[in-house]
Amino acid sequence: MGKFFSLVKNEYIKTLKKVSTKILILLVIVAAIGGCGIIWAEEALFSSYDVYYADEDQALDYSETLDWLEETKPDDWERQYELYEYFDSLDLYYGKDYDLITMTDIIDEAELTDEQAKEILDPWISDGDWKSTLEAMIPYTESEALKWELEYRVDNDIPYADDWENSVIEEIREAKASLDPELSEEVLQEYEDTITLGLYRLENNISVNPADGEDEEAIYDGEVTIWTALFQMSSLAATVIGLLIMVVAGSCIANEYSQGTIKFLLINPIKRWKILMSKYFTVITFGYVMLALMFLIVLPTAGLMLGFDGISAPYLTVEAGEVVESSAMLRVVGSWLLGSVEFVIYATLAMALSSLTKSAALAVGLSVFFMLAGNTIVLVLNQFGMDWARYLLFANTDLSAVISGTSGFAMHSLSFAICVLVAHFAVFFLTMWDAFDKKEV
Amino acid sequence: MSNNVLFKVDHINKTIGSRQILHDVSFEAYAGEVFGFLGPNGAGKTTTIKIAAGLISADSGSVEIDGVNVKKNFEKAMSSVGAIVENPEMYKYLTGRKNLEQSARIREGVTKERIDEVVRLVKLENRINDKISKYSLGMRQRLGVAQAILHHPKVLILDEPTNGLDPAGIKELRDILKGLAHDEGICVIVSSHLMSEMELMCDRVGIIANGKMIGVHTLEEFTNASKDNSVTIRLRVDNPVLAAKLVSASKIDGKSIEVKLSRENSDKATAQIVKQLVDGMVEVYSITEPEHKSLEDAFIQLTAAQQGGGQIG
Repeated sequence: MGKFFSLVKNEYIKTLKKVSTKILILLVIVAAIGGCGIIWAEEALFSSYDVYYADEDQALDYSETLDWLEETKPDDWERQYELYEYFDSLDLYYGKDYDLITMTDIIDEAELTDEQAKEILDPWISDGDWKSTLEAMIPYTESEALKWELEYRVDNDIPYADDWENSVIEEIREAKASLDPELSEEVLQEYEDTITLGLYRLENNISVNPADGEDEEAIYDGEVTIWTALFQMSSLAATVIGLLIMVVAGSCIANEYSQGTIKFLLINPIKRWKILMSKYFTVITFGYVMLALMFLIVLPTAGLMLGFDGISAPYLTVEAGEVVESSAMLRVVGSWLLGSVEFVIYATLAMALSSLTKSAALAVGLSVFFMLAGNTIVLVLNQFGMDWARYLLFANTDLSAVISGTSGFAMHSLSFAICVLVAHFAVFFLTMWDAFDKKEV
Repeated sequence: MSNNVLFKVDHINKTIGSRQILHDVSFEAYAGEVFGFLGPNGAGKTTTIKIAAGLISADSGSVEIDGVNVKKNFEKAMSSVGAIVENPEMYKYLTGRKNLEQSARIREGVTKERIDEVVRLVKLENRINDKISKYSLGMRQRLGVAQAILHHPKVLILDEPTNGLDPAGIKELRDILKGLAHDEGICVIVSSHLMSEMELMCDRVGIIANGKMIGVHTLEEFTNASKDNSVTIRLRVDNPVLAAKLVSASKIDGKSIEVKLSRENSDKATAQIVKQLVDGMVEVYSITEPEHKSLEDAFIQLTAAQQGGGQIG
């Protein structure tokens, strides 16, 4: 066993001293920081979207509505015309008075006259007393969801603002508004869960739910936390480290042949399979070391860019109507490790090719091609209705897609994916073993 | 010379593709000797060495190192072998020392002091911390030797070790190898196609041509076996004409005469001749044996019959 680790140490020295490895490690660091930077930049871009809506546009919006009402003269147009004249006279700005603008929408929906609107909006505009305005709105509100929101704001003293409580309230309101008994049970349950979760967060004052970071759309909603970066970076990490590890795996056997050092290695009093295993162990552990390195760079970088808010928040999910708390960090680590399945398989493929062909270029080239083009190949086959494509390796490497049911194949179960992966892994591993053990040097 | 067999090749055959590379090759090498494994390019030297080092397997026959079968007990057999097969290939992007450390880590009982010791032995102290990519072939060859002897092997196998060495380097290597064999009792096996070189280095030589062993001899036996059954001695005397009459010389050459003797009891015959000359009042100044036939000539003569096979390099 001691000798095995000496072999592994030798392999690590050989790997790390190579210029190509140093460049690849640099690439991992750049990808870690760059990936966080992109999420940060997108966050900055999309969160400023509301403000970006120019004030002139708002004025234009009102004048266009007025023109439209005048031209088409729909039922009740005079009332609306007066109402919008009133809104226009308020000189509201998206940047400053976003909440009042929101309120004008509600007033419009409630079909109030400009007199009633004036009465309702007056306390807010003159004294900043938003509560009275909301209270006054409640009897006019037909929608149960909106009524709930107004009551909740008044009861809990939550004014309109750009903060987490507002977005949670909005979420709950939208979910409540969507509760339609015509919908399927599954969809209904989803809305119910959103409501349960939102209320739980409001009650327990949980500003960040790390689970939101798993949603790719969150970036475009401008709701980005450190968890968004941690979850979203896992797939980039799997790809970047996949490429790195394939270069190491594809060359670690072939280079010994091309440089003639294989003879030096094999005349040592160590059986060939032990030498092969020390190489394999080195490649795989090196992949995980790189994964850990990338994680340790992403964590503080994302924190510095996006803030450490909610770093200790629990990961909230709803199961059977009950909110369940779990460790968010474990979830993140889990998703990063799930991504590592892909690079372990492709590294094994690269080593098998390396051992079989003795050519680093062929081994690295082919396995990188399969990794990058695999998804496209499966996508195309799937588009043409070739369901057998599900047996291909590429259709099963993204386990998180299989788990979330977005792999593109119907009834694609996790156990099926694992079976396909294990079968491919076994073929690659045995090929690598057999070729290395029997090769005449 | 002790008769302790450390290296034994036993009836090995090897066919690669449709070509039989080795035909029933057998030989032994002993502790404390430098054994020359000679043959022209493509004779099967490297193939034999590769089989001995477990890099390829023989179709039949076996190789034993210190009594241990290479195929059946690879790890034990290899633990007493140091070898350079073909060229001394190193990791070019590592320094000489780092390359030695690679070896040291996976060999038993190699200390840091031992590394320094072998580095001094091959005279690489000044360049050991340079990367191999900056080494000349001669330096790589010497580092290869250092790496092969790092773990005190009982058997040292060197494939064409004089390749790329300058004459001074060859002499140094020769001294190192002779020292290892004669002082430390290592069995050194050196393959080469340079006959004149081996002549100065080896105690015994085995000749292989076209995949067949032609013979294994001590240098002396080997040279003589290639000649006829007579020895010629040359005597410088004061009166060559008288001397020639007294001992029936085969040739008179200035102040010297040459006498042909039967190889058997040539010593006795020489003494007899000297006695006859002295009794006949001829003054004898010196007795020499004219330069014996070189190994080179013997080798060419011996392998000529076997040639016509491949030159696969």
